[in-house]
Amino acid sequence: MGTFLYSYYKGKRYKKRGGGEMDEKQISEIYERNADRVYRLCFSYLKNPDDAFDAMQNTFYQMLRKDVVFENPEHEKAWLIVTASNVCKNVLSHWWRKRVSIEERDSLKEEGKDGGRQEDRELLMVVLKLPVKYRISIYLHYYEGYTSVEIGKMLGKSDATIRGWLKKGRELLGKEIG
Amino acid sequence: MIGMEEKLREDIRNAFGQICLDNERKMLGQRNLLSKAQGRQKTEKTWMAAGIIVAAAVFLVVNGILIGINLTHVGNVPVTESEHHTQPSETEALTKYLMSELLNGVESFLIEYDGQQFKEGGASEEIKEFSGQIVITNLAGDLSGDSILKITINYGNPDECVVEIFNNQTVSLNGIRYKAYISEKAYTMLWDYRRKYFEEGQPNQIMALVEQISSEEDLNRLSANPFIYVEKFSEGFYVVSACYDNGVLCTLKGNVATEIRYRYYKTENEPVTEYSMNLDAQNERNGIFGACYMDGDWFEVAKLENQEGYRIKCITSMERSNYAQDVAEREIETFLRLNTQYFIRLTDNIICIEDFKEDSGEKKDSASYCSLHGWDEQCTKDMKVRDIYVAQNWIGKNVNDFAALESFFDETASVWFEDGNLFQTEESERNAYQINTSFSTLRFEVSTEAHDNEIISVTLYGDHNYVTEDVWLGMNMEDVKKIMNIDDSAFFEKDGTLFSFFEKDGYLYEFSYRSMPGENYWLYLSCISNAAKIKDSTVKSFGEQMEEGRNIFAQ
Repeated sequence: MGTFLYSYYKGKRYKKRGGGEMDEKQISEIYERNADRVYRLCFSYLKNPDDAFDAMQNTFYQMLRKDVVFENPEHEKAWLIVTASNVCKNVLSHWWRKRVSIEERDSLKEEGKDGGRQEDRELLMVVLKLPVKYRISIYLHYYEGYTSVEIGKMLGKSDATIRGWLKKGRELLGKEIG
Repeated sequence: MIGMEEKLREDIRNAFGQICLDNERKMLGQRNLLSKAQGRQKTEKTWMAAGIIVAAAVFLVVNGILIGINLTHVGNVPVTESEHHTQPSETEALTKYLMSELLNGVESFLIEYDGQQFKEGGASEEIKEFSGQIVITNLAGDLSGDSILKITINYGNPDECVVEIFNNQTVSLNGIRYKAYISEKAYTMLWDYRRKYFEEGQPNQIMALVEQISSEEDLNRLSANPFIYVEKFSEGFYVVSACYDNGVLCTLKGNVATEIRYRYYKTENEPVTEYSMNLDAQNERNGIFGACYMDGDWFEVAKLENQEGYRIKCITSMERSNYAQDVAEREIETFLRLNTQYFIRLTDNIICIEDFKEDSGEKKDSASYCSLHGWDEQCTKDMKVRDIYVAQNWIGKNVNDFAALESFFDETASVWFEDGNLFQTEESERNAYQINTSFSTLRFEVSTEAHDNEIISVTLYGDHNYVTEDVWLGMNMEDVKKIMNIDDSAFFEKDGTLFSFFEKDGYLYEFSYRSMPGENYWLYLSCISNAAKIKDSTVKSFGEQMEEGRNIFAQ
């Protein structure tokens, strides 16, 4: 068996994945803490519940497979966001994604229809129609509360670029929602 | 301002709060994750034993490829692998589907469950039962032939290799979507097999197949080989390429390669004529996933390590031949096949759409653009980004080619009417279809006749900043006038705007210019397919405000 590396977080031991020994409780806890977040991000990218669910699962599978050691909750969250982003970008890079626009539109209409305010759903539709870089930067900034510097690190862009995206995203939103 | 920002934050939080993972899916995801974790533990504990089994299995199937497909239900009615056992009707339907679609063309197959052989048979047999894992075995005896299942495997992920079935489609059955994964065991076996096959001198067998090509049939048979990339062009023109990683043959897709070798064949007559031998091209260790031949030049397309973008590099410059003409119309398709919808080809240039971003702050001239992306001098010379904005380049093209720019404009500040779909304008019969999009302050519009895909007019609208600094690369009004040979006397003025209509090279142009405060100005250049067409048109094409100009032009 491989050599395990350990890290400690809130008194719980995190083992490096080299030996595949992260116990089920820890995995479940990480999943519970982050499933909604990862799904939400994936949906923001893919705009389709099925694909978002796939991408969410793939993200957590990556966590199992990689030798990742979460140093703290923030690291855990950021790692999952970056990984989910990469997973989604891979999905988006497939040519057949171009062919799902109709399905996507239907999915958008379905999302959140069972609850919530009409204006929230409408705003969500508008945000999700933004080009991906704008909607993801908006999501990470306004929903997850990351700064442009932090988003830049996650997405591999300069903070100036992120600020530009946020500005442009706000402008586009402004045009749409008045 | 802060208040507005906080309000926006709250609104967006509420909006994104609408996206929820329902409990059913959440539970399913957790079950799958834990199942995966358990599977890994089990695998690790039995690693040595599995290795022996794998080695034995590899030996047994030394003349075939074992590919395991682990079907995981990801659709509307989530079902885990174990639940497949409890839903025989669905299982049966799935197996039928697999038989009719997935196994089509496979000479024989082998189904395993929990490592035990479960079913072996021929393609005509119907599988009555099915469980989580299916192993499809090609018993054809070599890597050539039609029996190879046409799948693409991502070698990069040992235990989660997506098997892209039939043009990358996810398997869909009765509205329920399945995604196919190659199993870890099968992956290991495949790798062992591949290693054995290719690292022990057997690549020569494949190259021997290449050497023996003497007919079109040979080429078509070779196209089934996952390690040889065969591109079939029109007029019997074939390009055969193979990718090598330090001398070991590898797939073009998803791998790191150090060398690509090409040959191309003309098959008008038997035996086929081979036109080139081993055009070796060393390259950097990037994730090469394709190569393309266009108009006498070879290009390699690579995914840059740790970067989003792609690199396209001209790797050889060959003298243009008659045969190059044969392939001229296939270039876009070629790139699409290479999974690079980010690339288009326009006239003699290749444009990378993905990386051409408006907010990068980079100047968008050809040289800096190529420098930014590490393209070589040859490509720099060949590529002119501004050509995308040169109106006449689009005249006569299929409007769908323009639509291929969607991702480009989508990545910038696009405004696509009707979600990017073509739409019919009620007020104009001539401009029955229009795509009208914006790139920052530049607006770009193409039009076609009704029920026709041919672009007959292109209009650019731009202001000073973009026209002079970016889009037309230094062209100002004087440059435009000079290039277009516009005679000053042809201008007329209306409400502070200068108009001119002129013909050049068979095209009809409308050019207008308006001074703006400061040094700014606004330009409008419209290019119509030909003067005769527009003169014959019964519909107003430029709008009421242009009527006077047209009258002058007509005189």
